[in-house]
Amino acid sequence: MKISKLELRNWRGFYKQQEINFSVDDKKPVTTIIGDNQTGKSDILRAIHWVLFDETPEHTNKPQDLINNFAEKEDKNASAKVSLEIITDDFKTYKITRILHTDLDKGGGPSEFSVSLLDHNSMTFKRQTVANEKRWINENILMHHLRHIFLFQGEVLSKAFDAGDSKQLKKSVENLTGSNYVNEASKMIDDFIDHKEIQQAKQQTTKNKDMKLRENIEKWEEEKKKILEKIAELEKDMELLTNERVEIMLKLRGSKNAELAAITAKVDSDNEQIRVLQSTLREIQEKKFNLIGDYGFGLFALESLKQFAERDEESKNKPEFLETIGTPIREKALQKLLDKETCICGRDLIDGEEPFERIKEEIAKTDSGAMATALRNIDSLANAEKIKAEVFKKSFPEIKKQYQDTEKRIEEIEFRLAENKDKMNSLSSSNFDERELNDRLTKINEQELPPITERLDDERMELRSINLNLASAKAKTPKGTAEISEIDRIIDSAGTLKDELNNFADNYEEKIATNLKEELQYLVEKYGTKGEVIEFDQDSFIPHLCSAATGERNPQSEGGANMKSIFFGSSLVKLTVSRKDDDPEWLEPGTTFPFVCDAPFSVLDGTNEGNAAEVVIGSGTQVILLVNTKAFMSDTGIEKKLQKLKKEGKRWFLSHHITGKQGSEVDSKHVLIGKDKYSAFIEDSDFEGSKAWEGKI
Amino acid sequence: MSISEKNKNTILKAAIRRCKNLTLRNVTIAEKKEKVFKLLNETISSALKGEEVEDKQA
Repeated sequence: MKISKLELRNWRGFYKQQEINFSVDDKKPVTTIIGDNQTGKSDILRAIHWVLFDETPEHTNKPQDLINNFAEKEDKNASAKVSLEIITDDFKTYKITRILHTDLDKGGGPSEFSVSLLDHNSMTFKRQTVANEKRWINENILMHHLRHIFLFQGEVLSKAFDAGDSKQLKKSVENLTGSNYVNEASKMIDDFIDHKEIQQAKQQTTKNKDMKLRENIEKWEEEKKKILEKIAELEKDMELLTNERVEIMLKLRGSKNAELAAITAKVDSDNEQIRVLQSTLREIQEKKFNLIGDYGFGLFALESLKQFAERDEESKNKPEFLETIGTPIREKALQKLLDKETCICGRDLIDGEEPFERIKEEIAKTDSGAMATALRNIDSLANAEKIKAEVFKKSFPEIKKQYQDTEKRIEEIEFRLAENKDKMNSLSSSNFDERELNDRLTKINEQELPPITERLDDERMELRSINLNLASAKAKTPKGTAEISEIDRIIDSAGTLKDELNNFADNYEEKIATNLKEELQYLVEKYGTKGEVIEFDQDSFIPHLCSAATGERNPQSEGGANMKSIFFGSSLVKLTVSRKDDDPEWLEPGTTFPFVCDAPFSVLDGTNEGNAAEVVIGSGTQVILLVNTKAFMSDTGIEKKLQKLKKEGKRWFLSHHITGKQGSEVDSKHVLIGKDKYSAFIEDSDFEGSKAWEGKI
Repeated sequence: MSISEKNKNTILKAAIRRCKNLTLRNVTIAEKKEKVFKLLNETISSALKGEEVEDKQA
């Protein structure tokens, strides 16, 4: 960063508009501003200080009197204005301007600050919006706490040394080198790690809770599974019972199965057929009996006839069987005959003609009329019986066949009926016991189904409860949270970064102290008193010049103290602007603000003046050297040194003009302006106040 | 995956710069932490994914 131009208008000793251009040539980075005492050298530094920070340096006389008194006298509304043109390291050119309308010693208010950026196309400055001027200056131009280093006034640093303000000095060194921000970043990373560990712990807690919730979910899902299995089993039992109940109810509603109905119908039919056939059989039997009865009677008659034919003499007159015919005895005999089925005898008789011939022979032989009548009756009867026998002979086989067929048919039906009855009984006994069915139905309805239904209700209620718990557990499970492993890796990486910073910072402060001491020692040895060594106060950067032999601090003259502060400031600037090769990549380059050095060269001897200038110029940055004319011009002074170093790019002179026109002349060399007495440096001038003009090198 | 040397330098430089700028702005410690933590979290996460980290405020 370089300062290219300073514009002053009515700024302290400078009356009206003044401009100073500075050398921005890297090879000749030095601009010397030469002037006698009270010509405005320090006001140059103060102007830069004020335009940047709205404050005048601590080592300033009348810090409240900023507006040029001549201008104020001429115009009570006169304002002070300072503009500073700065070229940044990235080649932006800013013009920073501050205007004070009413002087502070007259109760003036805040100054007016503005920033303009040079448009390289139009070569005009465009005003920038700056919300916070302090922040903008800090971030873009120069940090506030570095002002005493770069806007160097030997007295300020000397005072800091004398006051032992190690804290402020250390802070300045740390800020200047940037080590404080390394430390702060390290602490930030440390805090970040703590923060992530807390986050990790929280997430672990959350994860534990999640795991618990997931375990809960699994538990509830397991419970749900069990309950569902139970419910399925119960529903199956219930379904079986319900089906059974439906079947029973259907059966009880008369819906007998078709097989049983058919069998029953067949049984009924067979029973009816049997009844009919038996009736038929009875009719046949009756017919048969009738036939047999008639035939039997004939047989009986024939038997009697046979007995008559075989009668002995004694019984010939009265065949007893005839008297008994038609009586119970006869029927009994007939029955006996039938039971013995001895009718074959009659048939045998019928088949033969012999009995009838014999009857005819007997009739012929009889001499008794009665006997003959009896015999004729027998014969008539026998002939009638013979006709009956003829009928029987013709009808009986058919009737007998009918009877036998009917019997066979009945037998067949009865066999089938017996089978169907067995089936029917079987079916009836297994399915159609209504009472059993009703009992079963009652048992199902009152004993078996209710506990199942009750258990099902309970299980379903439990299932609802489980479902609620499950939903609750699922709802509580957070989604999209960072994995703990990711946080672990971030923490590990942050730890690595922190270690990197710590390793650097641990050595860096010591390194700065060492480097600073080495640089200071080099300067002391080169430009200071031989045999002196630089020592820092413990844990501070306050330098002391000590005797190499005894280690005792050497007493410091004013010149020595100033040289020490010049050495320190220059060394610090040099350390800041020069990056070391072994510095890490992440360490940003140091501040490169120009070194505006208002060293009290006048209190130094000629040799030290030159040495001090050489030290300042050796700082390695743009240098604006404010020097006293006497120190500049002396035989061993700064001019000679600059000629030797060939670093001077521009040279300006300051002069102070008092015409006396605006004030009363005190004497030949002084005039009074208001309450202040000014030196009348050049009496014959058309210019009032300090004036800068560029001189030749 | 470990952080590459380039990403490491970018993250550290960004963190230091952020600390510096936030200090200069006189923000509260809480605000500073919030911003730096955010930067660290984002850049380290990206770096761990193998992405090339950029300091957007550089």
